[in-house]
Amino acid sequence: MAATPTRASAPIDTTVFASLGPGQLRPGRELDALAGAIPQIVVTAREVEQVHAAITEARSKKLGIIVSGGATMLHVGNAPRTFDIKLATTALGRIVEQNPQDMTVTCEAGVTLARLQRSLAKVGQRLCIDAALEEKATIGGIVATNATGGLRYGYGTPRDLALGLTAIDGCARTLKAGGRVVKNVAGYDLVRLLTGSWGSLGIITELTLRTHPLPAAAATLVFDFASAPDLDAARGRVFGSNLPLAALDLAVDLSADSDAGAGSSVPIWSLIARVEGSEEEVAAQGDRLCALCGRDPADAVEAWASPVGADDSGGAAVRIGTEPADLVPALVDILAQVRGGAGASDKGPVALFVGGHLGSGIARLQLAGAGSAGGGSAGGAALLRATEVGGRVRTRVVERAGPGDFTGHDVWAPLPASFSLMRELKRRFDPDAVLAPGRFVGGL
Amino acid sequence: MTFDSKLLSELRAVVGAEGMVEGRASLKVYECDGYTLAKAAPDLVLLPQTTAQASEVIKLLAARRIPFVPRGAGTGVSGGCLPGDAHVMVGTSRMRAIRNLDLANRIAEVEAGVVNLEVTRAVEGRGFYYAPDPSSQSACTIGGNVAENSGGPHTLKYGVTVNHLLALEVVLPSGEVVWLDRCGEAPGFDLVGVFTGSEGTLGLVTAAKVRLMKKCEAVTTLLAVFPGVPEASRAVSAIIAAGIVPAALEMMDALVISAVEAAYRFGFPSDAGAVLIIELDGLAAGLDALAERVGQACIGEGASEIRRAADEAERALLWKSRKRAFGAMGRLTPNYCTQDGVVPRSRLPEIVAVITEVSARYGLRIANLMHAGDGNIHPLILYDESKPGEAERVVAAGDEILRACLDLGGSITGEHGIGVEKLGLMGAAFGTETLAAMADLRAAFNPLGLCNPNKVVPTDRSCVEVVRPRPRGGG
Repeated sequence: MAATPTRASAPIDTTVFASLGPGQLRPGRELDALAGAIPQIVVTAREVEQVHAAITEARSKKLGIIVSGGATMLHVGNAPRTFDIKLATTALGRIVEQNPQDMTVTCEAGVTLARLQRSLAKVGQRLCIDAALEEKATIGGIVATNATGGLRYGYGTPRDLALGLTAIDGCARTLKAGGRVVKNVAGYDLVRLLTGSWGSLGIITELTLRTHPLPAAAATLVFDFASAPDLDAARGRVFGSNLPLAALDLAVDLSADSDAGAGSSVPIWSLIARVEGSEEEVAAQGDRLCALCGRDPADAVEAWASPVGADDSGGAAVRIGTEPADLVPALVDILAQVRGGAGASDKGPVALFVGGHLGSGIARLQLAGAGSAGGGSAGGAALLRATEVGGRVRTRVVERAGPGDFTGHDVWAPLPASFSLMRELKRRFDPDAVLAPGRFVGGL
Repeated sequence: MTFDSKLLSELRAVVGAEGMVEGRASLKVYECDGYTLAKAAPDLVLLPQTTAQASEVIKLLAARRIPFVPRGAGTGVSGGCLPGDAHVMVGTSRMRAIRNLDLANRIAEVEAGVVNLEVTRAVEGRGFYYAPDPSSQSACTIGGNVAENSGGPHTLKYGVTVNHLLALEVVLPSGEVVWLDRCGEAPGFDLVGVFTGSEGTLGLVTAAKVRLMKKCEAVTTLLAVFPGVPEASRAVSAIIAAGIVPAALEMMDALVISAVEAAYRFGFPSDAGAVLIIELDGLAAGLDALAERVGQACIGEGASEIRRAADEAERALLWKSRKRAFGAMGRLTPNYCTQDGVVPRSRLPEIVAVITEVSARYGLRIANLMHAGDGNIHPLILYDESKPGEAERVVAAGDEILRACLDLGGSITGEHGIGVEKLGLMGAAFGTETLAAMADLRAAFNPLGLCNPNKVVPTDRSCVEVVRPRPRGGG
């Protein structure tokens, strides 16, 4: 994608932000840049009216606004066609209403996941979303990107857990979608339209989400396998069982490579299961898992952290989607390519982190940061090419290209069959293309 | 409406004579769905057998700007498939193929006309099932379930239709066939989520890839008997507050109990003011302890008796009594209207008080059936359409109850949809800007308004023309 904005921008009238207090408005800086574009201003909204004012100003001058929560996923997306206003939601930080009896919570978009979890824990509940970097990631950002961790296996994604939201769309309309009840089919589902729309249709300002009780007991069990087929066979047995697991994830440890020299040793494939419930249920599920995996766990801990994360190390990262049963074979193909195939830049050790969701056929592959051994641009290009081999990868998102690397690709692939409908929706909800212009799928 | 003979012969060439329904007597079947307060037969019904046929007939209609209304099995309860301004109906009842069962990936690809329960029947031998279980599951079809985003008793734990969909094959109002896909984090907007529950106004769904679930190791079903609805409502809150999420948590009041007892003879206590049906599932380990905790929570709120289904036969009879409660109501009344509102679960006692008051003020008996765990109420307003003015009072009483749901922070429909029934309440439920956005959403899929016009979102016209019932036999 082009590294420079293609739309010339008019200067912003900052007087429209008269209500902004100290520290809420500043000029854009180098650290705000996306694909080389530095915004004219950065607005940190404290009130919904300020979001509204920013969109109204952007519409009148055809400016580009990119919304930023905790900025954990801000780097993901095509280069913006124009980037004039960075609108931070981090100061929209009110937890509006906790309703433990209804198992719902309402909060503003800028509340971080960790803060909301701490608040819910006081009433014995939690949000069953384990998106990465929870101290930074905001609820608005999580819903806007449909971000998940391994708990999606047992509890669904934000698409399943978001009950209602308020958003300002590209027409500066205030949309109040869904509600505060767990079941609601009144009108079109604007909640699901906005969830996972990556800030391209509207800026979410407030959300209501379904909560769950904190489990009485829980355990994370890690089962190690020396080969991918062994792990895959166990995966098939576990996935085909009726165990009500909270998570069923995968991690591949390639560090054995570097210890033993180039390509001479095998990686360790780990099946990571999260079990939650009463003490009895946790124990019973643990026993069943051991039987299905044909071994004892290599590790068993109470804490949970999904191996499919995000990190800020700067290394190239790609997310892929396959049919669940295809995920492990697809990863075998990709790793063979990256570690020794024709596409690899060298045959040396590759510092690659691989995590996956075995129930939904999703994996994330990340190279170590540019400064690390095996990282850098050539590895990133090879990684991307590797995902194109074998035909099992149905979808892929280039989360981070790595420095100066594999630009020219659409970050989101493939272009959906229903793309013309998506373009129509974008045209009707953001007719002046002020929201994240060009960043989403197909340059929407 | 009369159709030119060229169009009719072109349509016949696509779907065959057996795929066309014409003539007043044959069309009468299609004059309403489960919402019987309004009736109007279409002038022509087309029943394609394949997606290609559906696409062809919709293209022929679109070329002449003839509006149409999609129809599944006609079990909807909000008048969503009433013809309205469309005189042609396109039904999916002949699209009955289960295209693929991919058990390794837990996916079934089925055509729109496949009956909900048939999906489970096709996979239960291997231990799988399709979770959404509307009460009409032995008749309603997957296409209709998608259109209405149908729920059912087990949505409390397992979610509604949209939570079980991976992809949809749809025919757009232009006749174009497109797959909407959310498998493996397919990039782009969640059009599966948007299309589901759109009540046939965005296009015709012709097939769906649905997620299959594995049957639980153990299940147990409790019947808790209460002196009245207020006590049972408080017990619902107590169970939720204890951090328990049952698979189902259903309530029936004395009127419903008397009807189902007469019909199915389960053995409900004759003096019960209300019962809760509470299903718990999961691992065998810990299930007894959980059932004990649920029982104690009910007793703490005044339950006089806790019964646990002794075996699968008793459990099946209990569920039959619940799911066929609608059918049993005929024993109490010549006619009834099912309402469908939602309140936050903790507000159930308040909405129950409203229903009681409305019932007394309008002089109408109201029976209460609820997906109580979801806060989803189904007041059944009993009436006799032969009594002048009674149907109008039913509509007014229903509107009052739904407005009270909104006042309590709830919704005017949890699973039945807006259809024509609740169009007049959309303005109370949503602001003008949100409604305008919904109209834009519809226009993105259905720019000419040819597919199921004047439903779901009030247009300028339908907004002022609130649908009112006509006496039965008038259409």
